Amino acid sequence: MTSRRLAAVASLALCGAVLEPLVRDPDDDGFPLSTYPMFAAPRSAEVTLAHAQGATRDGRVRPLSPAQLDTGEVMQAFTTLQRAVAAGPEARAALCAAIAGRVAGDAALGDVAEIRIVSATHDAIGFVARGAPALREAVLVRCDVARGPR
Amino acid sequence: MRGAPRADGRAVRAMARVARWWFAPAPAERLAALRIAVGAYAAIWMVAQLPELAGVARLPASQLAAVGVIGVLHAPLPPAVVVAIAVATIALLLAFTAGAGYRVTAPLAALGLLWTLSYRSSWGMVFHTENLVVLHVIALACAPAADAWALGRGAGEPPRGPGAGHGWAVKLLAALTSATYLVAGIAKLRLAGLHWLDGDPLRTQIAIDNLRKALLGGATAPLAAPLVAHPAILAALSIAALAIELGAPLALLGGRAARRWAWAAWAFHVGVVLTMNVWFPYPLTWVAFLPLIEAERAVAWPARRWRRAISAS
Repeated sequence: MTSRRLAAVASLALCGAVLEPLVRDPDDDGFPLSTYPMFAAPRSAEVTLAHAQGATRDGRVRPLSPAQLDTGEVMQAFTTLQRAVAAGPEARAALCAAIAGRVAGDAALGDVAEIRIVSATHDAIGFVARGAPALREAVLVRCDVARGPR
Repeated sequence: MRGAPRADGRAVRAMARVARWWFAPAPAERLAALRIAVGAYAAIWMVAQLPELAGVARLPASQLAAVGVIGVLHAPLPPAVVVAIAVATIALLLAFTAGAGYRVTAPLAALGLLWTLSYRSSWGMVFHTENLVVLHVIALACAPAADAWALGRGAGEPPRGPGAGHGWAVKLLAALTSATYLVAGIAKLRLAGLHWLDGDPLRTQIAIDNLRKALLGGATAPLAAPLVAHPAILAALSIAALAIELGAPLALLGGRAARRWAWAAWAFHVGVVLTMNVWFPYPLTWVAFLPLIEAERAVAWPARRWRRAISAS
């Protein structure tokens, strides 16, 4: 084959591969050949999401960062939480313990005594536009933050 | 059946026109500039992602949700192996950027990047921010992108072997940029239909994305609250976003049309930052759009400034 033919084959193969997701189920995402389903599908504004909270001994709730889930990415933290919650009580307890271990080593969260993984249902539009509180909330699992003697 | 030969002739002429356009010559420096910009971006991105990669490598095996090439794995790799592959990929990307040993280092760099970023996306969250840079590195690895501005290559040296030129590879990179936006636009029509244009799906997406960030300790976007409260503006933004995505093939016309489309797509990404705090650094830094312009001028400009600064001091 001449090099022009090789170039044509490479061009057709790569362009064809990138356009192939158009004939795939839009929810069947891949990498790096994506169907780009994010932000495309219509969704209900009422959503139930799991998140992790820290609680102090006097009951105050302290927000946790994705770093407590061993990531700098909010979306990876979100996925890790949802998958652990969906996997059942054992996976939830394991994740709770892992978060508690990281919080125990974080001086900025020194007053946090307990970790809770919470499932909360929100009206997302109400929350973003007016700061509306959760419609429903349930603690799925809780675990203590064990700190050594200081 | 008398029309068939005439139709065949038209098809052949159309194919020849497409081939002439696709293989129209472009300077070797343009493709080299793309190699340098894309390679440097990929290397810097990989360095920045190393801690994140080490983090996902420690996730429980039950959370592995293999995508793409990672489908060959039945279990996660040891974290040390994941990091070692990533570090080797960074070294290969540096050689790729310099054009050193290109015929060997470029395919290996592309393979390493594809593997490492697919691994990062194999834990339930596919990072769409990284698709295009992987595709561009793969395309460059198939192309004679080290015929100019490459380590160990003298100025004015002719291309190695009989070539198809450099224009086709520049067009290929431009087509890949264009195709990814087109697919994203068509996905909106496939999943939401024309309902996507009334702004309601975008409003809900912005709200859910910001809710997630607020609950998980991330920063919310500055324009999320005012825009969610004013759906009419979101209808206009939905139409604009879809027009930019579906209009991506216009970028292949080159010249002013390509530059205008690229700026519109860049503005679209700025809008995504302001409404969802979702960052797509590859297009935001303009590296994704360099195949649409005379990239050699954009890449040579900082080098000229640097040389001038050195000679002035």
